[in-house]
Amino acid sequence: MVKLTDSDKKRYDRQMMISGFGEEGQRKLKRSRVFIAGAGGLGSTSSVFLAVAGVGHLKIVDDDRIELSNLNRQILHWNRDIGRAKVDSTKEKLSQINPDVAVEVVKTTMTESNVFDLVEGSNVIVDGMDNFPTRYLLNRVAVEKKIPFVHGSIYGLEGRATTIIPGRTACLRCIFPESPPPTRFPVLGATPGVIAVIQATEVIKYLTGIGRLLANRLLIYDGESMKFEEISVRRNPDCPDCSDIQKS
Amino acid sequence: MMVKVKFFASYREMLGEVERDVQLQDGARVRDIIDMLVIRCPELAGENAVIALNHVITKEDAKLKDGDVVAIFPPVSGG
Repeated sequence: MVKLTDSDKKRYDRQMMISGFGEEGQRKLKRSRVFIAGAGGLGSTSSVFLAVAGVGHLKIVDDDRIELSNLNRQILHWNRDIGRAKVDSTKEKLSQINPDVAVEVVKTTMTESNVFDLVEGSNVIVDGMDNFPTRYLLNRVAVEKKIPFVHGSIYGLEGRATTIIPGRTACLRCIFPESPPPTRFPVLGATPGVIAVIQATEVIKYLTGIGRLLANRLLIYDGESMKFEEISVRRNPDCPDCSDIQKS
Repeated sequence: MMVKVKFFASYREMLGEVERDVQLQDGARVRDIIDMLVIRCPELAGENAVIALNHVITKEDAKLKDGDVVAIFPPVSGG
């Protein structure tokens, strides 16, 4: 059984005070493995909050290098990092933020041929992608392996989040049957910040068993009007990605 | 009947507004709203819009009633 050290008990004292969390919640986080797909705007922020919360193992996959135009939103990458692989910058920063977390990084493009191996052993998959084809790929692997998938996406001052529990909730394809065209999207740095913090909260709630998940609920963050909209979603019985999964 | 229609993401830029009240004939369906919007903004015709009726995801053939709130939003790819 995973044990908490004296240092753990001090570091995580304030979150263990949350109702229902306690030392047991912290032990659950410590023995968990979270897969973060992408180290961009969403992944930068979700990975920080998962690291400081004490998730035992974070695996981050990204194929990109840091460019100046990333720096308005990808807060884990700094001016001095321009040209470095995003995963290298991520590993360095997260290891300094919380050296007790094992940070595994892979610099690769996620494809049909490697994604099943990449997510193997993960308790949750966090969506930090910037395109729908890879999101659909992650959605399919999440459904097939029955790994919860915490979706996030953004545009300008707006973002969306939902938590997909395969077999129980609508999957990404049930909600968005068709992808948007690939585009150079507008974005304020604070927008992926808001959505990624929601994603990290969902992951921690799922792993510790506290609270009520964004299950079958699509949250729309409307930063322009500063409102949250909640849309009820449901499984599509004809969904090409999840209709053959038994309800569980 | 009057229905409130809300727009999100790029649809706000295409239509130049965040929301509007729309007057419709009795028996109107969500599709009638889409048809009205496409006349105003033809590029909406090719969009993969997701539609919610009173905060529940729905389809274009859903029937409307006075006071309904319809949200129309595209999937967004950013991350």
